[in-house]
Amino acid sequence: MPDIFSDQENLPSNLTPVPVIKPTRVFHPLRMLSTFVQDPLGVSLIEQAADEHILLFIRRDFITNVPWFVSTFILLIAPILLPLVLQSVHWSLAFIPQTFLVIITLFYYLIAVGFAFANFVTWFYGIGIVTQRRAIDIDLYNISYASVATAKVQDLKDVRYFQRGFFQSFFDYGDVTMVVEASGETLTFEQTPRPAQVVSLLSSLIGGHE
Amino acid sequence: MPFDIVSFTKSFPFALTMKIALLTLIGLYAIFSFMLSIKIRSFNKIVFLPPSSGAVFIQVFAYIYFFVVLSLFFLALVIV
Repeated sequence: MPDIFSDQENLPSNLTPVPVIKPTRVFHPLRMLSTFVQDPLGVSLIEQAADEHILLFIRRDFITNVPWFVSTFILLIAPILLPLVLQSVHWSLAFIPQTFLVIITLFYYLIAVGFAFANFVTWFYGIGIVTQRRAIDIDLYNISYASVATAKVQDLKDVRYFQRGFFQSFFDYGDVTMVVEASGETLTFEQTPRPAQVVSLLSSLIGGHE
Repeated sequence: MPFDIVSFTKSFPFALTMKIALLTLIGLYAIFSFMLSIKIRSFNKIVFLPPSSGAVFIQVFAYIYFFVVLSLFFLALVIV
């Protein structure tokens, strides 16, 4: 009669029990233009507990940068087209001294570069982070306004995502919102890539705490 | 009578007015660029991003940008 169950202690001495291998976390490097990184390598937060791991690092989808790319391009080529425009309306900048023109041109290009840089920084530091304990939303608007919002995972409820319009559906990005139970406020990861995956992760974390 | 821009600019200290306006604008912009570098520094303290993410490069670029704007201010002060 075949044995259905036999104790490992009764195994022959030449056979050793197979050790149970726990799944190890694979860390992924964070690059300059990364928008969605699970288990990012080398990222840490202020006041992060020793046993708190960052599970997800997200930024706005890269495609959302296109409007300011276009604006910057127009700003950079505008001075090249300016003489043609002035010529067509029979105007000239000859009444402005040459030294002024040099300074004004340099200042203009500094503003154009600054515009691009400020937009890039706004995108770069517009970060959403999910750890196994909390969700953190860092936003930077027009340099002058910054907000850092944190909510504990067990306080989150009603996690959902919205994809509005053709572009969001086509490029697979959207807003992930979650309601903080205690305050009733909403935490939003704006224009995040793969929102369904983010919601899935957050839901599993909330489920794990319940 | 058509508007003559050349005689208009000679009717008052045009160069001085323009210099003051230009210095004010560049000065305000220098404050903005300083604010930008401060903001980046404070964000780097909230979230530590690894060197591969380019956070250090952005911080350095912000400082360089501020010093370039500041240099332009002094250049305008001296040569204009």
